[in-house]
Amino acid sequence: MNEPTIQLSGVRKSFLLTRALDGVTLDARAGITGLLGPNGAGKTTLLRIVATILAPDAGEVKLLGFDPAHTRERLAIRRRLGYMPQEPGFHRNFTAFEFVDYVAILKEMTERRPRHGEVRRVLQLVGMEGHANKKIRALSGGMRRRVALAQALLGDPELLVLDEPTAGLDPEQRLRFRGPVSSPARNGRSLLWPNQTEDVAALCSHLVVMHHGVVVLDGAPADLAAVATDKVWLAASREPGARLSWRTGEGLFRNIGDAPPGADLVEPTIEDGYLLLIGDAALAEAA
Amino acid sequence: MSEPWHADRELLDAYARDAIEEARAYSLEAHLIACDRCRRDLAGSVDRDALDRLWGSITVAIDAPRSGFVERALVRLGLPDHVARLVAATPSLRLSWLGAIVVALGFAVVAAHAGERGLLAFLVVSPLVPLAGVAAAYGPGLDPTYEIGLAAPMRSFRLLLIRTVAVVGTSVVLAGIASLALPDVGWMAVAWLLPALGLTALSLALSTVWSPGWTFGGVAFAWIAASVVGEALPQPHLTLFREGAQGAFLLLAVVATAVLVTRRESFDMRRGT
Repeated sequence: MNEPTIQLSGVRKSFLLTRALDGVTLDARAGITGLLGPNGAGKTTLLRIVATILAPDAGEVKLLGFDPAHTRERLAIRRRLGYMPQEPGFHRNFTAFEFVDYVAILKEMTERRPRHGEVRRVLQLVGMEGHANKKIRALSGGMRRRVALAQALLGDPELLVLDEPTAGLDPEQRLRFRGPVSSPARNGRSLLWPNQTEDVAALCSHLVVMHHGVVVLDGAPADLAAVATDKVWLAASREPGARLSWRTGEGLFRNIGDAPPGADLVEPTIEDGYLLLIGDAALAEAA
Repeated sequence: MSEPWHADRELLDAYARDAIEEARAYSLEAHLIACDRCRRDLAGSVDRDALDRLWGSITVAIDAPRSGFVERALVRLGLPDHVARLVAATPSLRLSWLGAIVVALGFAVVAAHAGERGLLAFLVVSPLVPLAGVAAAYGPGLDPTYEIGLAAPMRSFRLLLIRTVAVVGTSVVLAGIASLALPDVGWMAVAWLLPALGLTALSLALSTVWSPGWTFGGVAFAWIAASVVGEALPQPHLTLFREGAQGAFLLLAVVATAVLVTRRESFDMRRGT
């Protein structure tokens, strides 16, 4: 059986002057759900609600079958949750080990021996076991992100919420990240992973695209690429019918939009679909 | 030549389970040292999980990281190691913070030796020490792991209480030591204590409604303003610290703590953005 692990229905959230979420409805099942959208689309707000740390103004939220609005159920969710915020903070005087150990204590692992074993396990998962006793302030940005991921993996959570975990990392570092979160051991677990399109293509079985606080696409990665079917073509110049176009390495222009008859159509990528979708949503709003 | 003797499965299983008498175990061990085949057979009788657990406890014992100064001191005082770690992560218990407090109190003590206005300065500054410390101990923007902590199952109110007790305790000890260095002013030397508790409890209670930054800042401002105005009015000197006012601060501390406990759920979620 594959019950939705994340169920949102009509979720709204506003802050003083901005409406961050304007009626978000989505189901996410076991597996990796990618979350895409431009800055300000409401991704972080959505992730904070799924991480139980922010309450929506309206709408229903069910996580792993529990309602985070109730204290007891919220606790049940938090016991099964791993969360990596967008800008994870650190106690910089702690070593990597002490920091992850600190979060393990917040996760109710009070017994020292099994807790230290678990801390060692997650540090090993992210390849940081060799730097466990280095102070956080002496670690590089990429290493800090791996330490932040390690704390999210503590206790092998059923629901993993990572907010832009690979932002600012180089391709090799991003690859290192994919390992621990996509391992077969995580079958049956759920993960929310907002990120660059290339990570989504490599990892996600399910994809949600957000724009201006609403879900504009909910499906498989192939569905996103399909948005641009028959709408991507190569030409010697920037064509008038193209909504977007850029010069590729081969010297030809990749045009996205309504292709003229006889255009040299090419297979669309996820990125093409994304650009077309976000561009469309922006145009619809302006109209 | 007769076939050499080898231990059978039953004997090896019993040995692995530590279920044979000592004399037989010794003779078997003597044989195992010499016999490759029996050593290999024994490996099949050993419970791997038990071995892993044993190995795990050895690594934990020899590989335990050395913790920081504050943490070691707290464990020596008898605190469980996990509570010590929670306290050690308090921003306002860092040595740099404590150093700043010592300097501030030092100036206040010097001022108090200069006259009555100086004593007023000391009595106004001392309650601000725990107030600022508690403000910096927990909350968005101040505790770097605030968001991770919120999403963790441990109740945020519990973390707040642990840190508040640690910070208030440390502040009271430091201000208490400073009081010993005051000129002879009788019990007035500790007249800051109840205001300190009252103002800190008031700020915490109000921070269940408003953002901690504004609340603590507002209470500190109101406190300084009240003491300045109090001295300007045609009333006896140091009215804010005399018997009647002390009772009021005690009452404030009790009521505010009750409000805080009633509204403890509000620390469980992020407010604002």
